[in-house]
Amino acid sequence: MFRYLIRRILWAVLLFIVITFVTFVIFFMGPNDPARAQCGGDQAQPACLKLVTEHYGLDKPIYVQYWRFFKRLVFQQNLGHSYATGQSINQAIGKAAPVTASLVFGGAILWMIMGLLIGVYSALKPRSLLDRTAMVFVLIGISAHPVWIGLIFEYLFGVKLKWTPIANYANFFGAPKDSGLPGGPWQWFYHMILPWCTFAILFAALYARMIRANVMETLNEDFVRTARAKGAPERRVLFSHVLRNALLPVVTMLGMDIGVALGGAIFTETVYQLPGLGRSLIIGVQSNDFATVQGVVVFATIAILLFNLIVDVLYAWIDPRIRLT
Amino acid sequence: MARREQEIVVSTGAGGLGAAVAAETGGALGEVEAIRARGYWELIWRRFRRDKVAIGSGAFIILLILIAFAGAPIAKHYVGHGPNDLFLTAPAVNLAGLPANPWTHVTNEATGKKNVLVLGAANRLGQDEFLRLIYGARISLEVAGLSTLGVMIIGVLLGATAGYFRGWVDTIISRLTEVTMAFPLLIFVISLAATVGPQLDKITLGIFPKGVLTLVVIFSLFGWFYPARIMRAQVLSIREKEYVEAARMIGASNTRIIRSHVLPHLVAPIIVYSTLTVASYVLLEAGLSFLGVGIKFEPSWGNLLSSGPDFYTTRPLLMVWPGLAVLLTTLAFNLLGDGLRDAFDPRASNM
Amino acid sequence: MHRRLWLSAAMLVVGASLLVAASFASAGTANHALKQGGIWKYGTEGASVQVDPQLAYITTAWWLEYATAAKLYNYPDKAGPVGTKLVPEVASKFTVSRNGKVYTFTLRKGFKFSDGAAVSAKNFKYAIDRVANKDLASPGAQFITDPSGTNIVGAKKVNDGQAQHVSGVVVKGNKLIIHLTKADGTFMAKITMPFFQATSTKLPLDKEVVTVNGSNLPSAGPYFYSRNDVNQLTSIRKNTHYSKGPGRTRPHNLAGLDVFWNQTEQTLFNQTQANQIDEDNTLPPDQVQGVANQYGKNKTRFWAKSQNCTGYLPLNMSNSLFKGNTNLRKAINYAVNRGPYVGQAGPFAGDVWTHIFNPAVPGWRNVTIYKRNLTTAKKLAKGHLKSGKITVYYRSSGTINPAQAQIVRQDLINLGFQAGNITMKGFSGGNIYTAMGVKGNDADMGVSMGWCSDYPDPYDWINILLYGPSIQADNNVNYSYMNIPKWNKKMASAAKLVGPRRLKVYSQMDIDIMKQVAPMAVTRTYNTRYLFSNRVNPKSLVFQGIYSDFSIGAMALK
Repeated sequence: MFRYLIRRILWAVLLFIVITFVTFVIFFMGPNDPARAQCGGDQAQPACLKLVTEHYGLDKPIYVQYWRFFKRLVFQQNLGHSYATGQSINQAIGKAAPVTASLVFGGAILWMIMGLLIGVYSALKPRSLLDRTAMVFVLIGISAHPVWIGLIFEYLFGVKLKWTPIANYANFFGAPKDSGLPGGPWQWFYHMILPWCTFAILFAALYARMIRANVMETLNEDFVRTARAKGAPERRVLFSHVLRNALLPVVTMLGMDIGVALGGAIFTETVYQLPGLGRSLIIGVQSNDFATVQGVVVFATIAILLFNLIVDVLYAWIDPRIRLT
Repeated sequence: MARREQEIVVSTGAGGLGAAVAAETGGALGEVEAIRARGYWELIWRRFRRDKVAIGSGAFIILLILIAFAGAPIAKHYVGHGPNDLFLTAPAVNLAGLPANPWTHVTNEATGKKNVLVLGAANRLGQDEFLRLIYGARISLEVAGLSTLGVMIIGVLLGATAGYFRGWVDTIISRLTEVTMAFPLLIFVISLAATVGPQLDKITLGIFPKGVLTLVVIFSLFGWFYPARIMRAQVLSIREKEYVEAARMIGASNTRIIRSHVLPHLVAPIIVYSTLTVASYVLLEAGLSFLGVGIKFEPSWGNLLSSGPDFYTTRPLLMVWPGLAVLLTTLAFNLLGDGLRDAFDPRASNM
Repeated sequence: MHRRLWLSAAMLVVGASLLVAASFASAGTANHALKQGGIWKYGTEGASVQVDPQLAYITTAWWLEYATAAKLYNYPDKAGPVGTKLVPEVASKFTVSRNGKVYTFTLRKGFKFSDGAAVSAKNFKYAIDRVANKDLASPGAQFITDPSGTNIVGAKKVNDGQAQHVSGVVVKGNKLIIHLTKADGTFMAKITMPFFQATSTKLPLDKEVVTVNGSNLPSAGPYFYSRNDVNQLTSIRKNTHYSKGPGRTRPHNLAGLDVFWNQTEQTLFNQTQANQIDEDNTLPPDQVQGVANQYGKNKTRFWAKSQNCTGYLPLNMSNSLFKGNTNLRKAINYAVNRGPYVGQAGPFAGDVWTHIFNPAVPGWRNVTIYKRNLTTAKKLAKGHLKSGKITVYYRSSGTINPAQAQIVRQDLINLGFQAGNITMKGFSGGNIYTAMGVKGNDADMGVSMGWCSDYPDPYDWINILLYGPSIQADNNVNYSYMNIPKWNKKMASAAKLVGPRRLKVYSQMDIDIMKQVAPMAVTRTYNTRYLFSNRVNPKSLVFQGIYSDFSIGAMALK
């Protein structure tokens, strides 16, 4: 187990280096001039461009710059400064990550609830009206564009019905004192309802479909038939035999999907203008703020690798055969 | 927008096995082989034909292709202007900077004739929402279709090679797959499209609108690992089958085994998976263009959708049309894909 | 998508003596008719800015620094030309040695930091030490280590990490003595940038102050930073130790100002309409006309103020198409559809403009040189399209820039260029400037470009943008690559003029160049559109030209 763990961690480190290096290369492929942002953007003066270029070593070969970045990241845990605003990227990511985390984890809980309810009920009553409605939901859920769902929700519930805020984020731990900003758990929840719903629909649809199939398959298994034959109450059969076996693969799936969902959060954050990682990325990309983009990539990569590692370990723990391969 | 491979459990049906065995016996039984091979496809077609929803979806897709490639130029001729033509003066864009409502008559600066904007103007440039919508279909289909082609070619080649030859080839390809999989996909696609996009946009090969090939290249580069994994798994299971072993025992070469035993069995999963992939690339293209890093000048559903937030309190219909177009198209491809899967593998139909 | 305006680095070019007003009395005085107290709430879409005085650099940051800083000399909180003349603040006077290399400032007593500590010459020396510090990496370092401009003795050494303190800055009692390596006419302009404000020695020499909570960032101006949460909230509060006295005459009506970062366009707009936020300057474009109709322009709650910026399409005179092709350059000027071009950013985003000097440049004239006329344009262009091929650089980020590029493309087609012969090249962010700045680039023209200046002198427009001899290999700002000996000579001699004559000559040159040479197609001016709450007293809105925004000190609530 221990050796397996070490191997996975080393592999994760290697992946991390490859991914961050490729990000570097991508930005060097375009005619990018990060110094310009630092020097006042459109009206940058040659003297400033020269100074900044030298200071940040922007004229050095790409591997030298990468090494500088890597050293700083590993030894100081420092992602540097934004080229556009000069802000510390650690700080900016520190503020943005909780927003994205709220969205992704809240969304994950919501999609699991929806997926379970829809999936299990429609599996228990196949071809019923409920099942058919559920399948229509699944189809629309995987076919409608999340951006579009977001815009429609925003217009309907925010602008027309005024049930929810149109956009914006409220801090869970309360807004700064006397600031007048919305804050606290209730406001946080209230502001996140629409983003969660928007974000969860795609995954809820996929999970409902997967859970329905798994449950239906398990219902036909011999051990379920045996349990029923032994006269076990239907409720017990369902919970301790069917669901336990049907949901095991779903749980491991969830670990991997949370990493994938980080990317999908970009759309939801853009529609609701949530100040999360996705929005930082879009703003960074549009203003050539390579430092911010790299910061987001590093953070997202670490998060995804970590989730995958957890899934790997869980898997190995559940299924000892894996460790041998 | 990740398409998970769990959905695509396509086993090669009994008909496939029969056909393969027949093919191997060859020679004198050639007659039989031809009949039985046709039987396999006929069987599938019969099953598929019974699926009204899938047939409807297929018809919708064919109609969409017709509209996109033939209907759009006809509509253009009929209304008297093109999808990229600008109507910069009122009433196409009013003094408050709002695009015109549906069915507005405007004067064409070039011809001096009165034209009509059927669904109103799409943006502050006064471009025709209706024409952009149907020309957008062309871009969406081109991007999604070519990207699917791209990922399938790379994915099938690499996946099948890895699965068939195993050993160090498999190790290398599998590691490569794992690396690509670990990339925060969307973040990369967005960064790439924004940085190298404007440079790549120049490449059109003379037939494609600007920006289409950029997205195709980027999507193919980062999307091949899904089909590669599926194909590897398929090939791994096929090469352990008795008929492949039998073929190897009678001394068939690798080329021959691949051509007559492996490839035929991959056709079903490739078709099903491709159909479903098209749907996810329609969504992805719309998403990127919405974020402003995809298709720029040419009409696409994504950049039509990006007018939504600009005018969403004043012209909410502007976000409804492209969203509906995306919904119907992806729905059709998803339903068609499901139908095809059921036709290829009736056992999966309870899914 | 909103244009971020930056303070131009080479703000001041001509001799500072021109700027330093002799009169002490012109310093602003608090208007006692205005209500005192209250917190002004400002919401913005933008990400937060740096608050460390030696690192803050972009527009919003300097807007806040202007309220918090006490400088040797400063600009008064006044609108118009008065607001652009330096007056003594912490220094009562300064002397320059005969060789122009030694500046001696005599400092006043009575200035105090918000933590109660007295301001002394040491605090200005500390500011310079921090700016020069290698690890702090201040963007201000370029202004004091420039071998061809301002170069303080010893600053380069500190910037290279070989010393801690700038040897050329000496404190003698209440005197601050600064040694330069060579005489420099722009020194006063540089030393009055917010980088060189009185800085508390509480700030670590080589580490940025990021999070502010109460008292770790004292400053000596009318306000100080009381809190800074990155990307969330930045607050400034009244400096209770800023008491009226010599040099301490700046207004400070509000008890404080809160900046809410990372807000959203539509929410901000709704909140300001509902008077929960006092100021919003990122209005949703489709809502602008509504509030303008409701409140009128520049009267009560809706304001559109011109920035010192001009938008233009540079026509590259070094490439074959526009080289010696005055007719075609003029034709472009007649053909460009400026109304919709400006209108892409919504109503009140700016005015259609056809010559270089916008209304914030001294000596500007309200004339229209080119009125759109396709017939005239076609007539001029006929036979002058050369190969018929044209390469256009445009900006690909956002929705407004690509839309403007499409309008220009349409104009070129109207002019007679074949659609297939127009090559459009997109650049994200500000990369178009880098690309156009390389001598020998293949662009014939650029779209969505512009120039901003915070220094109110025509030199920064004519000489900087169009003077031929300053063209170099890259980083050019003469994007038109105009290099005509006759005009070069005129520009050089105009730069030496002073007073009203200077403005008159430049003003005429602006018109003449546009009429006779047309090295660019000027398109527009830029406005910032503001919406205020009903709590705001519109009489207190003083537009400070140097900082391109309303002075915080002058603001008051009702």
